[in-house]
Order: sequence, then C-alpha cells, then structure tokens
Amino acid sequence: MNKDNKNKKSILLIEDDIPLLEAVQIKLEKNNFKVISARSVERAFSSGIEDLDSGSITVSSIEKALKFLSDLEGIDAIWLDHNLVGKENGIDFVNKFKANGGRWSKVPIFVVSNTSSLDLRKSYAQLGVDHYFVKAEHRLDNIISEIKETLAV
Amino acid sequence: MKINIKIILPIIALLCIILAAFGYLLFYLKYEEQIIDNQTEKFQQLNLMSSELTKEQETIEYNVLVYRFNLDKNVLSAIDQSDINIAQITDKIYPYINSETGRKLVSNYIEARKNIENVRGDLLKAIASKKEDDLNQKYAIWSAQTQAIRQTIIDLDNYNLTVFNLILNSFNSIYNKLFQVILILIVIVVVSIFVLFYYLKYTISNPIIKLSIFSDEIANKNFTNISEHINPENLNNTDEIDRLFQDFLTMSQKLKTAYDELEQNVKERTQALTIRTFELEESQKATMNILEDLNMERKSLMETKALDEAVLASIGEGLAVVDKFGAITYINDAFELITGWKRDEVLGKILVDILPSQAEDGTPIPNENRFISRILSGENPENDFVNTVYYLKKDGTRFPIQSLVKRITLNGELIGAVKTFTDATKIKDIDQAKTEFVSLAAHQLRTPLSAIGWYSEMLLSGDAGELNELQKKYLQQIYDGNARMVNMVKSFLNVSRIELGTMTLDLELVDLRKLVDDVAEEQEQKIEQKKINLSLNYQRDLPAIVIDPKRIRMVIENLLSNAIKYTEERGKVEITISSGQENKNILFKISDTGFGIPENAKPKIFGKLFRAENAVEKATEGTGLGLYIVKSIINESMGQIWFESLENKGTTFFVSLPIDPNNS
Repeated sequence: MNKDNKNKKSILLIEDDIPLLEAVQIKLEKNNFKVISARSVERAFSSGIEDLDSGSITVSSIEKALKFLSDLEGIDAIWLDHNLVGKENGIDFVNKFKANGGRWSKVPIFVVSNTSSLDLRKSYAQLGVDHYFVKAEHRLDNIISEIKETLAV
Repeated sequence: MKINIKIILPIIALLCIILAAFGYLLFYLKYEEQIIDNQTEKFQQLNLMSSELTKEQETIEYNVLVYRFNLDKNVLSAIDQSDINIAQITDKIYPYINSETGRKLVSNYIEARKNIENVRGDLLKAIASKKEDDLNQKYAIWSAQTQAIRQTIIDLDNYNLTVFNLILNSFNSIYNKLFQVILILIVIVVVSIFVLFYYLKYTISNPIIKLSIFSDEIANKNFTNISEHINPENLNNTDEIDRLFQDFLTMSQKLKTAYDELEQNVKERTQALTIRTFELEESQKATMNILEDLNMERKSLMETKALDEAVLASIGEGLAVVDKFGAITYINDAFELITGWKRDEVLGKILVDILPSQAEDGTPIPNENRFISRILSGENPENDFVNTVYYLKKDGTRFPIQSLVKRITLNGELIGAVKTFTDATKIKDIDQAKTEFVSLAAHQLRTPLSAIGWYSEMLLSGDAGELNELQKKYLQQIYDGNARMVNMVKSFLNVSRIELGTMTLDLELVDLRKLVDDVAEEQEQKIEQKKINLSLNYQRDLPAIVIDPKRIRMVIENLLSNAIKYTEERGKVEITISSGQENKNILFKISDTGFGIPENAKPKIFGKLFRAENAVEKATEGTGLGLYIVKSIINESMGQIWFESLENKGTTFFVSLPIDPNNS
C-alpha cells in the first residue's frame, strides 16, 4: 500500500456538492489517484487531515494542510470547483494557494465548474489556470484522462 | 371706294347751276358798282361845288356890305377874287352835268351871275358916289339879284338830290337782283334735291328695299319669291346694285341649299337628341342611384373612420403613419405620451428625424439603416430579434422599444408605412430579471445534472459492478436524457448571455476547416446512426480566419446537428467552405436533403423559442433556441447568415464571416 501510495499521484479535490465529491473521488481513486478532498477553501487549508476512507484525507487546518502537503512533498494536481461552501470561491483558493511562497505554483489546477462564462475562464487563465471544464458537459472519463495526460501518468 | 355715277352726275349738274347763278350775280354786282361809284362821285362833287358857290356868294355879299359901310377899297379886290373862284368852280361843274336839266340849271346860274355882276358894279359905284337914294335903289336891285343867284344854287342842290336818288335806285335794284338770284337758287336747289331724292330712291333705295324685302323672305325661308322677281338676264354686271342682286341671288340659292341640308341635319340631330335625352335620363336615374349608394357608403366609411380613429387613439402602443417619403401623417395619443412630442410639432416631419435611434451601447443608428427607412426604400429587411433598439424622446432621454412596421400599399404600390412601438423599459427590466433568473437556475441545474451524468457514466462503465444488458440499456437512456438536458441548459445560458449582453468574443486566428472537422467528428455517432451521407468540401488554399472559435463552433454544431436532425435517414448533408470576393470573407455553406422550412415559418426561423411545425412533428427534441443563438453569434461576429429552403427538398444555410472583423 505504501509502495502504491508512493507511486500514486495525489489530487486535492475541492468540491462543495457531496454526491459529486464522492463520485469524483471514487472515479479518481479508480484511476489510481490519491485524493485529498475539501468542500470549502477554508477547510482545504484549515480542517486538518481526516481519514474519510482508506485512500482519502481531509484537510482540517491550513498549517496541517500545508504540513500535510509538504509531507507529501507536494500534491500533484488540484481538482477545483468554482462555487464552494462559504464565502470564498475557487479564485480565492487559487490566489491563496499561489501566494504561498510560489512553492506550489507549478501544481496544475483543473477547474471543473458549473459556470461556462468566458470572463471566469479568463480570470482563471490570468492566474495561470489553463484547464477549465464545464461540469455537466464533460464526462468524468474525459476530465480524468486530460489530468492524466497533463501529469504524464 | 367706287362712287356710283348715278349719284355723281345729278350732284355735278346741280353744282354747275349754282356756280352759273353766282357768276351772273358777280358780273351784275361789278356793273352796278361802277354806276354807283360814278354817281356817288358826281353827287359829292356837285355837293361840294354848290356849297363852295354858296360860300363865295356869302363872302361877296359880306364884302359888299363892308364896302357900303366903310368904303374900304381893299374889299373890292376880295370881291374880285371871289368872282374868279366862282368862275373856276363853275368851269369844274360842267363835266358832272350830263343831263339837260342839269345844264339848264347851270346856264341859269351863269346868267344870273352875269346879271348880278353888272348890278353889283352899279351898286359899288353908287356906294362910292354916296348918293343915298341911288344907293338904296341900287342895293334893292342887287339884293333881288342876290336872291335870284341863291335860288339857282338851291336849284342845283335840288338837282343833286335827284343824283342821290339815282344812287339809291341803283342800290335798290341791286338788292332786288340779289333777292331774285337767291330766290331762283333756292328754287333750283330745292327742285334739285327733290329730283335727286326721287332719282336716288328709284336707283338705289328701291332696290335696297327690295333686297330687304327679299332678305325678309329668306328669313321666312321663302326662296321662291326671289327667283320670281329677279331675272338674272336683266342684271348688268357693271352696276353695283345689280351685282349686289346677283350676289344676293347666288347667296339665296346657296342659302337655300344650306338651309335644306341644315333642315335635314336638324331633323336627324333632333332624332338623335331625343334618343340621347332618353339615354341621359336613364343614366341620370342610374347616377342618382349610385350617388345614393355612394352616400350610404360614405356614411359607413365615416363611421369606420371614426371607429378606426378611436381605436388608434386608444391603443397603448405608440403609432405613427408615414407617407412614402417617411413624413409623418398621423400619430396617436400614445405616441405623444411616450415620446413627449405633440402632434402639431411632428406632422409632416420625417419620422426617423423625430425619433433618433440608438443601439444598446449608445451608438446612433444611421437613418438609412433604420427598419422603416429600409421598408420605404423597397427592401424587405428581416426582423432583428437580437439587438435592443432605443429611441430618443423629445427631452433626449432614451428608452428601449419593441416595434413593428407594416407597409401600406395601394394597388401594389408602396404609399407609406405604419409603425407601432411600445416603451419596452418595463418589458426589458422583466426580461432582464427573467434572463438573470434563467441563468441562475441553469447554473443550479448543472450540479444535479452532473451528478446524474457522472453516476450513470460510472454505472455504465462498470465502476459499481457489471450490469446486465437491459440495465445498461435503461441506464443509457438516463444518460442520454441527461445529456439532452445539459444541452438545453447550455442553450438557455447562451440565450441569457446574449440577452444580458454578456456574450463577448474571444477572437483568435483559426482554421475553420479544423473546427468543422472537429464538430463533424463529435457528431459522428449521430451521423452514423441516421446513415447520413456527409461530405465536406474545402477550398484548398483557404485563408485562416479571425473568429471566436468557441462561438463559431457553437454555430457549426447547431447547423450540423439541425441538418442531421431534420433530414431523413440516408439523406445527404454537404458542407462547403470557400473564400469570398477579394478574400475578405469566408463562406460556409451547409445543405441538406431534409424536410425543409415551410414558407410561413421562414420569416420567424431565427426567432427565439420558435420551431417550425414540421420540425416539431418530425423531431420532438429541440428548444427553438439554436438558430436564435446562431444568428446572434453571427451578428456579433459581423457576419451574415441566410438560407434557401424548399419543403421536402432540403435547406441550405449560408454563413459569411469576415476574414478579419477588425479590418472590415
């Protein structure tokens, strides 16, 4: 399992809708990803890491999250929903994430959003986020295969 | 002017007679004048001489008296001188005395003179001798002799009076002669006038009276009398009156012919007139009937007009009627209310000047591009369902409008247009709220749709264990239904974006062929399912084009999926891409052999939520938003889209896009 874990790419999954979060998580794990999930930006940074089930970890506090992330020697990718629980949204997450000393600036972010607005796409693009999917219009298969392609798995 | 000899001759004769009479009178007068002159001179001379003789006689008598009283011998020489004077006077008298009586009188005088000279000599001697008795005797004798002398002189004077009477007689005879001549002349003139009058009467007046009678006859249409009274052979061609008769005869004959013809004509015309009058009466009756009908028609027209005007005035939409030049001929109350213009201010003005138009972003719409201008210039512009148009009120504020323009034609000729419009501010606000709501709702829908989609995807891919065929089939239905729903949401959102004006273009240099290939590949499954024969024809050296690939992709997706959807199985769909004129445009053409667009649906085909009846019948799936979105995107991209379609034959959509919208 450790060996598996070491070979596995880890993805931070941030999605507010529980059924969707579960579906994505299952699908990602089926595709051999280690998934760390959160439903809000706050939680993504602050809630520490809790075991959801065998392969999943929830971040509970930012220190812990960052520690965890650093322990993992960085995560490989982030699956980010735009609309999240709480006041902050995906853009806020990217801002905070990228602000952290540029340490994770190279981690690819995949935005999977309900919103197909061009303005939003542009906002993400300005922050260096190139992967943008409109949620209902893409099969999980397609998104995951693009992640794999990007990570060259 | 030619003068009739018949008139001239008698006048000349009369003038000759008068001249002769005057000539005679003049001769006579000259003769009498000489006589009178002679007699007058004689009378004067005799008169003078007799008075001189008297004077000399008195002088002598005086001097004799003087000598008697003072015996002055000088007086005697004066008496001698008087004697000499008397002798001279007596000598002069003779030539003037040519009658016997006269001469006798003169010789009596001379005799008496001789006697008295002797007597006077004796007297003078007596005076000188101073013998008183002798002297008185002698003086008495001398006085008697003196008396005798004086008597002879008086006789001479009396004789002279007879001479004067002779002169008077001459004058009398002249007066008599003059009176006679004048009397004769008067008689001659009167007689001549009578003669001339009767002469003229017979030569001129009578024929004229005759002519007048004949003309009366002609006037009474009696032509036979004339030819009975005038024999043309007796007429002299040189005589004016005769010629007049000749002419009159000819004229009367011609007149007779003309009159006969006229009478015939009048008969015919009268007959025709009677018929015509009858016809006229008939048509008058008919006209009266028509007029009555017209009046009734007019009344009902007035009623209709009043009704129309009341209707037009009462409708809530602004309404303007313009003539073919776009000048306002009518506006209703709502027009005044909405725009702030009063009827008097705008009548006759050009509508597009009164209501300037703007696009959403405030750019003015040129008058010639205005819908109504295009209608009036004979174009048949399509309704623009996409862009909101604003009008400026009188006070310069703007308001969004919804409007409709209808042409007015008379006998197929365009004579004007009617424009109705509403202030769409509220509608637009409601629309905006609705659009925002749809946008929000659609976003919210995406989450559950994603859940359905992804979970069914996972089930189908065996993530939860193998499914049997039936389960797979049903699940596939769920998955497909969900996919359709997702598409619908996508369309709704696109429409919302269009209507909220948040659809922006992200222009890139794109190879359109690649885009079409991608879309075709995406829809391969559907194409294969319906066994559609899809052919793609690209111009080889097609230039790249500056477009928003995502939007244009949407256009191609829509057009291709429509072509597939509305074409029977095994039908044909053909896409052709070529560059247009001067390499400024690219023309995308997609034609199918499908159901076609019915005529009545053609004008509305780009409208929102519109689906043609046959489309609804043949394919239940569809939102009626596709072509609306397509049209909006093409408009936004500064391109054009149009189509040709025949029902049950097929449809061809043409899309023309500028190669570089920034340079076109």
